[in-house]
Amino acid sequence: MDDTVSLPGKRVGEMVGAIPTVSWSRILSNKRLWVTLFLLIPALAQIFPMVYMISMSFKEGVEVFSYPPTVMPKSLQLGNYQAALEAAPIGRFLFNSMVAALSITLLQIFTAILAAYALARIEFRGKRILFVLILGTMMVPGEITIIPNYLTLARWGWIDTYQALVVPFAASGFGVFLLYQFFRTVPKELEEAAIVDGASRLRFLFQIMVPLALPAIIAFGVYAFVSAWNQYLWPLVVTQSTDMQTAQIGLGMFRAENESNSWGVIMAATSMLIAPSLLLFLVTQRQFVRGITMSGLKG
Amino acid sequence: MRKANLFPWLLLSPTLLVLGMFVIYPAIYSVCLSLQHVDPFTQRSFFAGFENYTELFTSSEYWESVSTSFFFMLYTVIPSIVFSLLIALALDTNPFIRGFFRTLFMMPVAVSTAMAAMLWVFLYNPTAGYLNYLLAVIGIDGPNWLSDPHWALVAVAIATIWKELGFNIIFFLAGLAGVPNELREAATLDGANAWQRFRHVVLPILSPTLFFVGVVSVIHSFESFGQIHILTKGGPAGSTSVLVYSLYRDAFENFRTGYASAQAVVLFGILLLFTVVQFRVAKKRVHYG
Amino acid sequence: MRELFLIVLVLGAASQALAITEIQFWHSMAGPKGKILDGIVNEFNAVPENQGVFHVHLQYVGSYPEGMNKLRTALLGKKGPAVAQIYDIGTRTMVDSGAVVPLEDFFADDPSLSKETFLPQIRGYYEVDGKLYSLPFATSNPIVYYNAESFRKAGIAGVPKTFAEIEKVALQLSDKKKQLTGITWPLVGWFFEQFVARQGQDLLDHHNGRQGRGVRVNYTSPAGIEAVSFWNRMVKAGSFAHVGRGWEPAAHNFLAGRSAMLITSTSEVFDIAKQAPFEVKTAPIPTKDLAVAGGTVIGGNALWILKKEDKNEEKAAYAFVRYMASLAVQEKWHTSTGYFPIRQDVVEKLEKEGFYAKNPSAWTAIEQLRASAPISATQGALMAVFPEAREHIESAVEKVLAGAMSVEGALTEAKARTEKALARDNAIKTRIVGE
Repeated sequence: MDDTVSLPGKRVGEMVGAIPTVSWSRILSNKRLWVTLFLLIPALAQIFPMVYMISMSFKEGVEVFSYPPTVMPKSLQLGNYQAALEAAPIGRFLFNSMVAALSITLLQIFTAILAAYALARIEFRGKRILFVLILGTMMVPGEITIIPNYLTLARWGWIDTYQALVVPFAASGFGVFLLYQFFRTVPKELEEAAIVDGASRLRFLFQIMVPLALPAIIAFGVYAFVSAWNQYLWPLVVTQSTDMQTAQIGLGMFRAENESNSWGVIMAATSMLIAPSLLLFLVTQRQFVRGITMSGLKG
Repeated sequence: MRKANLFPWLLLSPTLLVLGMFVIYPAIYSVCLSLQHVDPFTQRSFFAGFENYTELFTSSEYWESVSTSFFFMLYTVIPSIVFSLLIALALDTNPFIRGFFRTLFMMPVAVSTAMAAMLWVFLYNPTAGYLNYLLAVIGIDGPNWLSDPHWALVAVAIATIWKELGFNIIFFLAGLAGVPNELREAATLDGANAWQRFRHVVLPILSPTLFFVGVVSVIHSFESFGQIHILTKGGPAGSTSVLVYSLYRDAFENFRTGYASAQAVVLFGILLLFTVVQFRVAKKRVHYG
Repeated sequence: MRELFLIVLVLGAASQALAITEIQFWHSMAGPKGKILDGIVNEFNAVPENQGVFHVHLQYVGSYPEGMNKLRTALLGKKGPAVAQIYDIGTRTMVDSGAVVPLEDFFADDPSLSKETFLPQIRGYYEVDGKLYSLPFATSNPIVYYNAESFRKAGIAGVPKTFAEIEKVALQLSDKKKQLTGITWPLVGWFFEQFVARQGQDLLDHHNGRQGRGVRVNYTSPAGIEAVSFWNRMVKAGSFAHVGRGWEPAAHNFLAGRSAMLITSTSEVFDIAKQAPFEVKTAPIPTKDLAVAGGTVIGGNALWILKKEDKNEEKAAYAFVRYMASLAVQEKWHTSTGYFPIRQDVVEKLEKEGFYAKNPSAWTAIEQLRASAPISATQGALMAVFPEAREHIESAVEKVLAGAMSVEGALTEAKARTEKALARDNAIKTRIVGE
């Protein structure tokens, strides 16, 4: 749809010759401008908390609580960053989060591809029940699985290990659901042709289906990564040593319960802990968006 | 034919193994626990019949939690869908700014719940919070966001919407990309106004996306925990104690394993009910292209 | 060949002698206090006698409730630390758990420590059925912190001692236009408990649950009603900054110069003085009637020794706890954090050295503790359902402050809910013990 219909403005401009008036009315009647202005408010609201966080991280002592609050710090003090780095191994936390989240993502993608293909493309007895069962796992509140799972892992001697952070999340009902949606949209004839050509089902899956579904897989991967990165309760329970703690748990070390904490330091730590995931997200967002756009979600 | 029967099971086995061991088994385990009283440390237990459930359904606090969860769902799902849809529609009309704005809107998605909540703790801070300062600038005496029982749930909802808006926008943009331009143009030529175009052309094609986003948002809203834990701890006066929070507190602070398990079973039932209803409605209303 | 044999023999013997007992110590001290704790543990590991014998690994396990939860989960999996730092209100649960060795059991073989080493007002809290169960490592009291500059400007000489006087002064120091209030404290059940104890009343029947398990709570006693009414009157008058749950917001309000007084834990005494851009002084907390004997209940946390199959681990745990109780550690801990010195001799030593003359703010809490009447009210309540009870009290206070309920109504509801929890817990304990 073309909404740059500004003919009247132009005609008026020529007739009266008052250029400023003309351009004003032209600008004001430009729908795109209004749309952009309309978008600016929520967009600012979306980034403001993060800008504010960064600004806080440079404020020292009670400057954080000055009223009226200021966005710009008096000076760019790096003391909070230094204090945060001295207080806890931030790099190690990020590394642990990265290892856990990446492993979970890859495993979830792999298991979901296999399962979604079976459900979407092969007829077999009990399929419906399995589909409902797998979908149903999305509705089990994570809080309740913690104690039985802890006991299982303790029996295996896995407490305070990477496997404890990863293995219980190696499969995802949501991932199966999402890829199932996509696989269903791939024409059946394609598969029949390939199988007539002598390709095995597995080869068809990995050589044709997976490349076709790549955008959807990447989209799911980003989603899985973000969820894994976000985990709180489970890593809290299964990690013990500081060296195994993830970013989310590590952040707790900066905020003591019964204290007037230094918010500048907390914000500096938060900034450092947010930065890598934000960066990763910005880098992959094109793939993420494309993946969602091309996945079966559009109908 | 035997092989064909075994093959899908082989493909499904990793998923079934993991989900079976770490989701389904614990879920069944908690159904058993919900029928017991369990001593917190020794884990010694005895059969309680439906005592935990009776206590649950006669507890005024639990019913408050049910309604809190329901309102929390309304406060988060509806505004977040409406805003993200409006923003997606606006972005869709203007390809030049789409990329830039999309990035801005998506940034909070990459911030973890725990850290996002930390940011909002500060924005809501009664001493030096920026939000009330901004409101004061335009002449509004802002509420005591996190300590006023009338506002706390709204405050948590705002932080939640902030975090999830970008995610929904992407889905809607994806859905909108599926609306053929010719259709809209045709409708415009037929004299349809913006609302009519949206209602009769865009909405039907968007309905599967709307459905998907709806299902996921409802499940998410019922499972929200991190932001409540950091912002309000269920208070003030229980006003933000949603079902998951109440479950968490009984399981991990009060150590009432049996009672918490009963809550988990009921929560699962509620989520299942919502999903089934949504699927039913979808069957009638959702237009798969 | 013989040499080789000898070497193997020697190495074998050496490795046996070097069988080092490594234990874990789980704690909940985040931020600067965690750093100090870290230093103390390193010093323990570096003590020559401990070299090659004991080694303690320090683990931060999240907030108090998170740490408690983690300990419980670990014990279910037959894992967990040899020493755990547990918050005050977890005392009854720890005793009930059957997973701990009472600290006093170790005193029989160790003449260097006895119950009498510790200040009676402090150890009283952790004495259950006459036995000292844990080391009251980090203990605190609430005290009043005040902005001495605001007081000088308003021409107020010192901090008032009664509720009525506090209300008067708080109102005097408030200024709605400038967004200034007279006083604030965190919305935490602890403060309600303290105001009740200060008025000499038990929180729980059976002498605060210390002679038999408690059944009824005294929330609606005159002392309970007065505690919340005092709070509520100031909020209504606009002289109290109602900044919500958690410990931080109130401290922030005070540090930002918005509230002239703050009631919070003594464990903050050095930190607040350091952070505040104005002069800070301290005073004991107020009460309704100074003539009524009462006092404060200690809060904070204690170190618990867990039962272990390997008795060497229990030995190591005790060696570590004894170190934590030593004069040197207690002096360091007290003077760097503000938590109480739990030993009489530490107080005497510091007094002689003139520490309190230089730091009068740190003296307030000790004075207040000494003035506490030796009654069950100040010994503190024992409840396995304490975290739940606190939640009910906090909710009640919030309902009152929001104007949604009357003081009596809200406290009656909280009382009913807490008593239901107590009854349920007692019934389960009886049934399990009975079986």
